[in-house]
Amino acid sequence: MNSLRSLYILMLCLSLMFMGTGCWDQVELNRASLITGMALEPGQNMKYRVTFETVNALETDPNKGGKGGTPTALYTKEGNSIAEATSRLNESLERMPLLAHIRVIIIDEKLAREGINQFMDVLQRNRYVREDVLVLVAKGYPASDFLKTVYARGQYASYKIQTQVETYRQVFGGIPRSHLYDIAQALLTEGRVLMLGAITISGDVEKSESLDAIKTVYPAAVVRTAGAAVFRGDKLIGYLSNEQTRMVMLASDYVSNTLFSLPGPGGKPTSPGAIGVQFYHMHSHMHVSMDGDKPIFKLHVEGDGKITSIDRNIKLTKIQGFNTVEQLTSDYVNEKMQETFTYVQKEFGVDVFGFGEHYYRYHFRKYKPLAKEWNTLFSRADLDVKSDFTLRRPDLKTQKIEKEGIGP
Amino acid sequence: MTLSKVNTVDTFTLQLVFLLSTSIIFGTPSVVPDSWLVGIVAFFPACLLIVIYSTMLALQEDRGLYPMLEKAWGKVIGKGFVLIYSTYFLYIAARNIRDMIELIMSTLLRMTPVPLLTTMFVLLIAYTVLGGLHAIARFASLILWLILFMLLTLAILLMFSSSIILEQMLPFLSKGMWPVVKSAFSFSIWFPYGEIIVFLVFQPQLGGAKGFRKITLYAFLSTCIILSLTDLIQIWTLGLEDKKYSVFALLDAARLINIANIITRMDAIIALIIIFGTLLKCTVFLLACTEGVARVFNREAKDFAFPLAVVAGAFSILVTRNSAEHVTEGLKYVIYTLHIPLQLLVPLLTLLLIRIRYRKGATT
Repeated sequence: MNSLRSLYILMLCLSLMFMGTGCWDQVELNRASLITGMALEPGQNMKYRVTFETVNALETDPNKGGKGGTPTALYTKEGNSIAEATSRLNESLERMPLLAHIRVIIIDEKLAREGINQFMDVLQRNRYVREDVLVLVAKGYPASDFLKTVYARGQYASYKIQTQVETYRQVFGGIPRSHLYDIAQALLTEGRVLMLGAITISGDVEKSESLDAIKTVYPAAVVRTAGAAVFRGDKLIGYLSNEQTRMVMLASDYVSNTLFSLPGPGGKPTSPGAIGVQFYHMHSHMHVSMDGDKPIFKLHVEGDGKITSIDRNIKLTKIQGFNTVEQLTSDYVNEKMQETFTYVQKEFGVDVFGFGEHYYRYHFRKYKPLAKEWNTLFSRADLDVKSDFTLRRPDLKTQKIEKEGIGP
Repeated sequence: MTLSKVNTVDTFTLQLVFLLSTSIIFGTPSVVPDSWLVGIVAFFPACLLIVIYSTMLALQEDRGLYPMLEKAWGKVIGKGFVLIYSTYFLYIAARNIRDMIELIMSTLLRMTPVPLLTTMFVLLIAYTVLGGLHAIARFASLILWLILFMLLTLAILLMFSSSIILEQMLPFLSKGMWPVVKSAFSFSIWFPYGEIIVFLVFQPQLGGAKGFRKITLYAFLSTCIILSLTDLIQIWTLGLEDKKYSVFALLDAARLINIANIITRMDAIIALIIIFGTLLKCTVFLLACTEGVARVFNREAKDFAFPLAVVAGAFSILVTRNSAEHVTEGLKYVIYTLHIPLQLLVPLLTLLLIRIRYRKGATT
């Protein structure tokens, strides 16, 4: 009796163990397909047209290499919601789509102008889509074209775009941080508007779809970053260039590593004698106050860096030399910042810098009555930029190599 | 039944884990912007509960909740109250199981049938209950270290993935102090602090009135600190504005962990915390429930462990149809119809009755 009872218990435990192993949603690897990129466009017959990039895993193997097939295959589906298009993907695809490895989501310009908040929910709600997925705006080309540009490294397009955008942001800072998570943050926070990274294509997309396109040293089409897409609410209103984006991001303290090229004497950007200064640690602090009904913004930028190139004769063995270059950098950054600020004020009239957010967070009671009209206030605000740069060392040479001459 | 006392440290850890377990995830509802303050505000009135409970204990020589009820209300009504309290504890246990299942279903196991998960979990709870209070208390210290270690890991990982932005907790008190106080009084006192009433049942094995006062105060204080810190971590990572929208804010915070693209997706940490915490909390409730039922029906408490566990499991599935109903029930109806009467009114009345019926000096 007793042994029978323990047998029953054992059987119960075993059956529970096997049923509870979590295999209820198991998918064999050769029956699953990784979705790595998504391009969202307005549909022809339905609301949205979604292009999915699925990876052909064998072809993207960096060690063995493939058999010469394409690294990815694109499938396009239409649906009245993104979720519908996704779940109808199997009308053309044979494997189970796995969304967990999406790297970029590219939004078409037309869709972005209508407002992105109408379809973002599915991406934010889904547990499998990571919070740090890149969401980018396709500037000038249909969103699906970006997934069609193959490139010579044999990897898939979305991997290239993601790595490119992240690296570019680290090295130069010319693209805003546009993770899925940042969208929610920007849309919810008072006093700051949404900026997403923009990408564009240079070259011929038609040629680039074929693998023959990458058998030349000069790729037929290349995806490149195009600064930032500026939104009012959740609707796209325009673009900032790479350099302007860098200034905006610098003001909101998102750039830590960048390089400024100071123009030579003569005033034109092309005049000879440029100086390159590289910064590694940059920080900015803002301060907002109201003067009547006109906001006064104060921005303090500081940086720590070195001199990378110097095409005119400034001696870096002397303190004076460093001071000169620091002063030049300071002037240059102040001027550029001021230029970008006026440009944004005039062209868009929305607070992309986040001055409003700062005011909202630190002076809530003063901000509260102004919340509705902040953007109008922003367009007539004054900016006062101060910068304080420290150049630490001149790398390996003390000055530009130049024959000093021994003459009298 | 052995009546040897559980030592003080074990009692403290038991109470602390009990208080922390589900409230780490479902702690303060994000109805007010400064939710981290709610826990701190609720701490002070919650201490009044300690005073009430310990006075009750002191009045009749630390005999525990059930004998006390019978003594105050008489045999028949007292037994009725014992049954009510048992059902109440069983109901809370069921709700906690549901809390955990909700989290697991939406994060870890999406396809696994709910009844299967619940069955396995309640069998585990019943087995733990059979171990008795001593075993549970020792088990608690293990869980406490686990929970604290994981929370610390979470905080450190978030820090290294530079997700913690202190600025996001501003503006401070944007809606004033009133919503915070209101939320503290209508919610946080009763859950988790008020649920400590279940420990009155075990007083013969715990410290008694004096010990209870001291240990519970420390447990409340630690809970207050830990909960406020986890709340702050959530706010620092998600931001005041975004936190409102997440179902499991701590889980959403954990999803943001990304260290050099290698250490990512640490949501399992949160699931582990909640699974272990709920296990302990449900065990405590179920143990209290079995003792009450055993008292009314004059049977061994152990006989009831498995049947009642299965009832709690079934009830956890049947209790609500969807998560919205579950949350509304928890935040609104349970507080006013169950928590406030059973945590405050009945104990107060009992206290009054004992005072009236047994004057000072009169022996029991």
